[in-house]
Amino acid sequence: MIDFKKISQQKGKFIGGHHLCAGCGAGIIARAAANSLSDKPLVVIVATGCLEVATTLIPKTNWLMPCLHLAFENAPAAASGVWAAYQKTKYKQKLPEDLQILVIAGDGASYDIGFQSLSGAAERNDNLIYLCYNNEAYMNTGVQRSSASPYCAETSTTPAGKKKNPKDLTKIMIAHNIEYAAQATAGDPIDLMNKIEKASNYSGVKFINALAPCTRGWGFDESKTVEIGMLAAETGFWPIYEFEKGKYKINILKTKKIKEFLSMQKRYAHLFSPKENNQEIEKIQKMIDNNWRVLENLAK
Amino acid sequence: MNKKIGTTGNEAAALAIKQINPEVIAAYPITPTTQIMETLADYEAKGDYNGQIILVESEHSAMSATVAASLSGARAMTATASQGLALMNEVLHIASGLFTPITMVVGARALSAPINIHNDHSDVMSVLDSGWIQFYAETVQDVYDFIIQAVKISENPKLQIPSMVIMDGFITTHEFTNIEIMSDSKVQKFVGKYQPIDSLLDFENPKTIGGFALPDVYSETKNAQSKRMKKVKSIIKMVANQYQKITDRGFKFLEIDNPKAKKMIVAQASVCGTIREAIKNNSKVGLCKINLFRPFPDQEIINALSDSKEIIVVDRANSFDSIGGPVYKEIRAALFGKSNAKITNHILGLGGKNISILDIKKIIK
Repeated sequence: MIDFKKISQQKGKFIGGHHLCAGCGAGIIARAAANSLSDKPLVVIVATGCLEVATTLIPKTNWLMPCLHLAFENAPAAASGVWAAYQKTKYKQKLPEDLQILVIAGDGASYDIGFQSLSGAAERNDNLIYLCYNNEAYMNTGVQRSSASPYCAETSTTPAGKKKNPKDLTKIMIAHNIEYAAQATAGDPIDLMNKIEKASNYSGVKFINALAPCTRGWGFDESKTVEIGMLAAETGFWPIYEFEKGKYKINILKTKKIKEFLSMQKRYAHLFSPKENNQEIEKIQKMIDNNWRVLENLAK
Repeated sequence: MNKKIGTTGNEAAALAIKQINPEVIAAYPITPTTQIMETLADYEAKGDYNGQIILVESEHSAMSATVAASLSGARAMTATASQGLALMNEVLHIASGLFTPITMVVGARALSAPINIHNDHSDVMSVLDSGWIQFYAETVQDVYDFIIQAVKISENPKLQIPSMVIMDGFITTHEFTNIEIMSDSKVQKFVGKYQPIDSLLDFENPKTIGGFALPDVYSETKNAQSKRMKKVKSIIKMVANQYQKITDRGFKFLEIDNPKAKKMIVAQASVCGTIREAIKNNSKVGLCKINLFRPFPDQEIINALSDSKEIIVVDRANSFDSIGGPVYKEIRAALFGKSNAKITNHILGLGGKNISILDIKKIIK
């Protein structure tokens, strides 16, 4: 478990003054991740996306540790290069032991364009923590659907709501036979920090998929990020669980109905206006209930 | 004494890489250069190479891992060809834009479609403007010599510019011939131990590399890159001079046969052997072989060709612009206002189509 008292007294390594929107879930996730690894030698590799453009604007940076950005789809391959260089130049460069490599990438970079690179790194099992901040669409280019966008969500390329289901990237990563994978949310940074810390004790690729509510893309007030992020967990829309050495564990129970979560966001406004589409809402509820049953069985 | 061995272009490349001893190699198989990574894997298995070989899942990742390893303070190398080079394209610009002194070996091969595994220069010519130095090797000996010199040139603190050493796929890559090689220690002494100027893994001075640039910073960076490219020729001359001292073979931007001839053929790489054979008893025709294509040796071209009456440029790639191949256009541009010669273009040997002595004799008629 992470020592929060100690962390609260430390100067964070991901600092303010960035250009992310007010209420951005990605900022919460980045800060939580950097803080939970603050006492270890850490390299951060960011994929192109909101977080990267908003935190590395030359000549400024919001990362107080070594930070690298190459492109959109190759952050895991870059991490493999850094890891290989670290192993072979440790003596020459007088490098510290126990280097942590943290890759932070959005859902576009993880689920879509960078999926091959991520899968390759997972198969090679190079030593890195992969943190996907999943805001469920291409937010940096103006809210286009990705393969993480949920059913019925309105995006600029699915104006009538997405007709397809998202892929389950966390399960796909578990299928790479990695030792640690988890889902987390910006709504519960403490859970996320504990998971990052736990991941840092495993070798090989560790995968954490953290839901990052996006005020612009999802359409909610910037004061509601944590509330919506938590509601996503409590409704089972985004199950918070861990996979550790072959065992599943559910961290937050499903206690609420999905309607509450959907009704708070403009991306689902078409389900409520001009009149409530109970059939679709019920369909989403059933899908969530089914997925939850599968997860419960895995965690038995 | 330097010893002689029988080897192929791919094996010579792998040997040079092993002797240079980069800390990181990223590799992905592609015809016709797969043998390079196989040979390196053999060296590793036998304990003759103790760097890290990253076996990636694509050429895009190969170049990405190579760039990241280089930025992290390692000497890093890779090899590819054709579709692999095309897939790397995005990251080639990132490699040069972040000033990573990588050396990459390319076995030049035609680009799809239609798919073809044989030699032409459509792959390497498609990345002319990616900010890399381009060396074109004619022989297996050139491959060995150019790789070793390229590493030292790229890593020069004034440059930090990546290099491509190009040989002709299935011709030079697979040709078995005798070459002279140096001992491992002699090569390592020549290239020197790699000391990065700057490293991502400097934890005392942490920095963000690859940040987001607004127009002013972007244009300043690209201008800096362009300025550095102008220094490449003088560094090559210096390194080639040092190499000449230990091997008797240096590096020339151009190699000229029969320089007084009024009719000159301009060509690159392996076809030059055929051209020499075709013109050997013909005092009226000379050959200007271009070994360095980026940066372009414009002044040397002017010196070599401004007295010619007729210049025949052989291209191994098409630009599909109804003007001509890439070499032809560079020659025309270099000689603009400097020569009244008739300059013609022949795009030959696409997708490995054989270029015979008779073909050359026909174009010089």
